[in-house]
Amino acid sequence: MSGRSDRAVERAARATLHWTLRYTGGLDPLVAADRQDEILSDLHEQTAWATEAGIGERATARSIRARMLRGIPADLGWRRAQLSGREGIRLSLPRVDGLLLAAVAVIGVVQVGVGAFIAARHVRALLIGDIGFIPNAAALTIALGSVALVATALLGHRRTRPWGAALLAVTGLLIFAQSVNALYYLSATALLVINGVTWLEPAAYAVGTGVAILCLAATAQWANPARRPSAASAASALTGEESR
Amino acid sequence: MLLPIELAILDAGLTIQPREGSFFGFALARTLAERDGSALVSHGTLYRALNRMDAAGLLESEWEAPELAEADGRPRRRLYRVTGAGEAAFRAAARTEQQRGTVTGEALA
Repeated sequence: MSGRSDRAVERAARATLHWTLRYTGGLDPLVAADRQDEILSDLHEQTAWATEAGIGERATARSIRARMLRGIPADLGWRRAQLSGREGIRLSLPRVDGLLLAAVAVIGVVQVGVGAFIAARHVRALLIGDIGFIPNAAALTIALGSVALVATALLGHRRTRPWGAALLAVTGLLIFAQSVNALYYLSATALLVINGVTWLEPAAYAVGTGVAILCLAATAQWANPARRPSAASAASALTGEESR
Repeated sequence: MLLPIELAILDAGLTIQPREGSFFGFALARTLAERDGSALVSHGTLYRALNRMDAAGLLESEWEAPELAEADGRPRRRLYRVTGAGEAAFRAAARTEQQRGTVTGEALA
């Protein structure tokens, strides 16, 4: 094992501990210390286990970082609960799943709509002779919209849903910025706006990144059998306690 | 209502507990990953669930003695045990889940 890869684990562990210090900041010192110590112990145990199991340093570092990143929403929720003194109202998982599906489906429909709009505008512009060719950005937007159409259809079945959400993450990342570029060739107003508003393209990429993150979260949710709503809807059970 | 992660923790915990007496966070993460062949559960999800279950009385926890950890050259572990209420909640929920094939049912054996 190289010294460089050794440091990869150390860096991942440090990043995790740094994040732990961030989200436990300002909490009851005992609660914060408990969480920090527990994460420290977890990191040590994972590293020791990975070494024993012959798992490479880089793979271990990746796993530690992935565990930290995937846990950020739960960490923030836990922090909020500590500050408010209660875990808060918990949505049932089927409901969360339904909301997530609705959100991803809307994202899919919007992307298909963007692709269709750009296609329609360019076909019209070609027919009336406004443009003599389809610009690359428009061709890419139309292609992304077509992929989004297939991806949205994949959301219809539980088995193919993670693939649909993953595809929408990729198309979502690109389609908004590409559609802004595609409009450049079509509309004088768009031309003025694009030239005048320098942050428009970065903003479109930012929107795309947000969409992609949501779709990837949905992919993770639907790809993990342990989190599927069939398991969640179990329910009946906190003996002697009301539903939390 | 038990969340799937809570059900899985109780399932794994009740399997480890008779053998080891108690369990700690990473041991649970490893057991859950080995069971369903998935990646290790995230820190946030795992420890938030453990914290919530501890507060709800489904689990009880205590930090192990520092000298024990020092002797092994590692940080202290927070040791968890499934309580009677936790076991009862698990058995009630698991009967339903077992019919759907979403828990291993090892702990029910």
